[in-house]
Amino acid sequence: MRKTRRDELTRDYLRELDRRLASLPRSRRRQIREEVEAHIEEGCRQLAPEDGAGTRQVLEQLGEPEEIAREAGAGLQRRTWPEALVPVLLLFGGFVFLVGWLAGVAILWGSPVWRLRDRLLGTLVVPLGLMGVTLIGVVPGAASECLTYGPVGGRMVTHCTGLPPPLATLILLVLVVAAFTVAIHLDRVRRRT
Amino acid sequence: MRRMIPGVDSNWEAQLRRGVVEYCVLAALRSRERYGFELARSLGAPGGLLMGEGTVYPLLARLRQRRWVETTWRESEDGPPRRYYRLTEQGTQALEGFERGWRHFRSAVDRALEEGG
Repeated sequence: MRKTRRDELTRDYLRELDRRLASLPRSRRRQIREEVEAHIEEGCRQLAPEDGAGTRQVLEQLGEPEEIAREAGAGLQRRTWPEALVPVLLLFGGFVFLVGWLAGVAILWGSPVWRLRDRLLGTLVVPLGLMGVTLIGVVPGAASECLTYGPVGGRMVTHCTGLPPPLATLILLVLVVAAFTVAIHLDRVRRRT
Repeated sequence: MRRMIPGVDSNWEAQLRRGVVEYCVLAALRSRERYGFELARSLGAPGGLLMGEGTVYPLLARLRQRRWVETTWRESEDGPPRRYYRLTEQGTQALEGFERGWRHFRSAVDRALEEGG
């Protein structure tokens, strides 16, 4: 089938748009692309297939692909690099004299990428990240502590306080999984934005 | 295709526009649902808030992601089905919040300008 003038101009425009939107997440890119395509189709419906001038006018009113991409935030990825660090800082930053974790929290609350719910999750699950989990593990009474003394009546006596070891291990494990889950969630939200 | 008003469109204006244009899209949906082309044409008219009609689509995508608008496909009489946008409850609340804030902001600026003059 021979390409009409309208098809050619539209194809060039959409190709340029695709190029400009390339850095966006796929679903966002597809949504914008579909709508722009439908817009051109609707705008050109009354035009003859060879009406180049009419097609050009529709495309001009639509605006430069670059402008659409700018509004979509494409090409701004450079600006989100501190946000990209947040999951790592929240998980492991606590080991760097706690400062790393605090930096993570500061970016989390300062960036428009996350909503209140995400910010609370990131801060509270788990405070200080894996460092927090480690601290809980060594707090007296949280984990089991056993003391063996004696002999009493000819036998050694073992006396344990705190949570039984299997339960303590389970709680720590749940906290570790929760911390990682929240970190992954925050990263997903960032990529969607 | 920038619609420049000579000597007026400068950086502050672009920033102001960027801050409010989403809410103007919401406002356009307040009375009824509309499809993309319709919104683009009405908001993208020269002298309007959009830099070209096409920029409404990234805005709509963003509003949709925030769940401020939702979409439905509807048959059209003279062409393929159209995607219609409609305000959600959250979107309505966001718009109302903006409206209150905007009136306050506008009168504060007006006052400041008048006192200066």
